[in-house]
Amino acid sequence: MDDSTYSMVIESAEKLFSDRGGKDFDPALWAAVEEAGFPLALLSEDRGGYGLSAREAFAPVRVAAAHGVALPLGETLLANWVLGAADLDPIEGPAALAWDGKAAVPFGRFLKTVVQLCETDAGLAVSVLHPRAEDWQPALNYAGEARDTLTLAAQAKPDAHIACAPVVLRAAMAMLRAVQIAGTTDAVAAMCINYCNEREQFGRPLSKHQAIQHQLAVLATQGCAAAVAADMAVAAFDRALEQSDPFVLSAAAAKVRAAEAATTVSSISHQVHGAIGFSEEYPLHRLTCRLWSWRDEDGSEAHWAKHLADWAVSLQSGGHLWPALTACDLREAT
Amino acid sequence: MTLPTFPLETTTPAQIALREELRTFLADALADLPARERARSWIGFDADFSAALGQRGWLGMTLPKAYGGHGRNAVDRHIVVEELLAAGAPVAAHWIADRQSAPLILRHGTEEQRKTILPRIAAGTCFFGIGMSEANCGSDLASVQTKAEKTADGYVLNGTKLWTTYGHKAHYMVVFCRTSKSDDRHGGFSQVLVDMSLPGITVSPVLDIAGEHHFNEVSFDNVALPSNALLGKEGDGWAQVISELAFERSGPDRFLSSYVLIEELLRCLKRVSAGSETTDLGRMIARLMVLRQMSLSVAGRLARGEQPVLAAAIVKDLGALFEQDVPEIARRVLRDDAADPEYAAVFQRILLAAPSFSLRGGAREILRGIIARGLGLR
Ligand SMILES: Cc1cc2nc3c(=O)[nH]c(=O)nc-3n(C[C@H](O)[C@H](O)[C@H](O)COP(=O)(O)OP(=O)(O)OC[C@H]3O[C@@H](n4cnc5c(N)ncnc54)[C@H](O)[C@@H]3O)c2cc1C
Repeated sequence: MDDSTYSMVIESAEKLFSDRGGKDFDPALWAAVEEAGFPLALLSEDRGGYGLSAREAFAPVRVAAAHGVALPLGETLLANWVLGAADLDPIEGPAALAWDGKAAVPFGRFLKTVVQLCETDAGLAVSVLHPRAEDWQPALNYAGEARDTLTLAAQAKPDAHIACAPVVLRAAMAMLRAVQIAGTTDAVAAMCINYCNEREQFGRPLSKHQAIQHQLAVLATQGCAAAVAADMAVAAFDRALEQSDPFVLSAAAAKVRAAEAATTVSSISHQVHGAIGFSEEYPLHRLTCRLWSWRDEDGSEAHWAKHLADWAVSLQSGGHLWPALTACDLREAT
Repeated sequence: MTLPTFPLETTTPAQIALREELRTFLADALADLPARERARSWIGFDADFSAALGQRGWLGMTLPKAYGGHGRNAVDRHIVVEELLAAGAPVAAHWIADRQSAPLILRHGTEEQRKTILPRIAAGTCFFGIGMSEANCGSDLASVQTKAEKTADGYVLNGTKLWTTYGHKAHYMVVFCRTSKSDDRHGGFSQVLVDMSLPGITVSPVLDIAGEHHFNEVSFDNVALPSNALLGKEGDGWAQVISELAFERSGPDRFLSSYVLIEELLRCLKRVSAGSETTDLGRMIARLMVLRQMSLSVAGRLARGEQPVLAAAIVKDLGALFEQDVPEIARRVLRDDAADPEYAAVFQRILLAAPSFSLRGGAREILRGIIARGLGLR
């Protein structure tokens, strides 16, 4: 695997996002993100994008999550990707996908564009909307990120239709949350390790107590699982339209596994931090509150677990789960 | 990034074909083996089956051709092992030899040891035992009491090993023992290659909680070893045994031990509504999908010549938790009254095997210590 683009993207994302964590959308930072071209990364060059692989394109999302940055970067990447699939031009400014109906839209009030999706007999209808401030009914998730509901009365006129099962796009959003969880658990691990190395009790650093070491070891195993879960889904996303089954299954598994990891990681991280981690002043809660939000957003564990369970039980009799599992493995491009 | 990374592996067309070959072979070879027997998997001993695998080139896969091996990489081997375990094939006969003794001999053995032993391992006709643990020496391997004392023409071995899996069928045992006194806690150890047909060796069965006989107590009473029984360098035993453990800890046997129960559960669920327990089932599948990719990633790193000790410990810790959760999930998902006799037999077998999953090859707490060290905490 040629990692040079990936490393380059990570490096520039690190430069942009370090020390920019917060709970409010930051327009100046968004401008810098557009400058870097991140929101167009998935689109081919003839569509005005950069033709990056999903792994490369979602790398900045992971870095942003690790720094606790509040931006709809992944949302905009996916919105542009849908526009590309619908043969529509990419948009400038923050954007997000939104399902027709009363669903919460990430960063709603800060978006310039909403790419609305609606299941119709003719396929999945795509409408490009530019809501005004008063069209949003504001709400926040546990981390204080905007999760607003669109209140447009009239049904939007479709701008295009795409031949894509709705579950593929729902899975793409679930994948995005898994990527964010993965970036965040890594940052939580770092915060915990540093804190436990510095904080002393009973005459030695917390990290020298075996009970703490084992807690951190468990946290690390869960963090690694979340990372692999996200990687697996992102790698399958490259062929989400042509081979939707492996992608949807990988994304479902990624969301379930990352959510499970988020639960353990946030709980251990607060435990090893003691009271300071429970304070407003200390930055841990910025990360853990996001973990608690993201594990439920875009399909909870129960939702995607049901998808996997239904799939497993529905496999033809005489057939087994095993070949179906290995069929999801990443394959060399032919 | 703070946490160790697990670069994903990409499957090649040749590897997909390899899986298919295995499946065709196994469908035929295991056609008459009931699920309750397949659930034994890693303790199921069948020398003919191992020889058949050897004939097809599926043992000693990563060994060089010069030693009867097949010059394939660790990912190919991982694929074969996964297919064997997923099918519940009886792999115990060749298991230890293929997984850890062969790479150990390849790395540290003399040319003579390689030439005489490795081709037989690849043929599936030479079986090994691991001689590490003793009655008073488990996790703390440096407390080993077994001794090999130098004589004019070799060594004389005394001591008793315990929990020796298939010691009663092994042709050789790699015995970790003391060869000299040392001030260094990890110094003065060596590994010796013990021919199990030598006089002075007594193998006594130890039954497990299900009444199964796989492990043993093996005593060495003044066993005269020739000087060419030394494996690797005298005094280097500690470093060697640690690298042997890395092989022992890295394979799919660390998360697929309960796999036959998953397939049995799904077979029965086709007739039973899963109801609200679907979440448990879906979560189990998600964990399995991710573990497979993690384990494949470790194999990929082995194939590139790395020694992913930390990554292997992470997969083994997560894998053992998973294997042990499978029967617990199964009993929530499928109520007893719906179970059929074959399912019930498989369930019991896995349930009673489960406690060992977080002991063998390094107990959970020891692995977590290794992970903590990898994180720079100790
Ligand atoms: C099915 C099976 C097959 C086996 N096959 C073989 C074989 O073929 N060859 C062989 O040599 N051995 C074999 N073993 C033995 C295995 O390697 C040991 O069981 C293992 O190393 C643990 O040692 P122990 O059982 O003596 O437990 P102990 O070391 O006594 O540990 C008991 C408990 O204390 C914990 N503990 C120990 N030290 C610490 C510490 N420092 N900090 C925190 N917790 C600690 C352990 O994690 C464990 O939970 C086998 C075991 C099983 C179950």
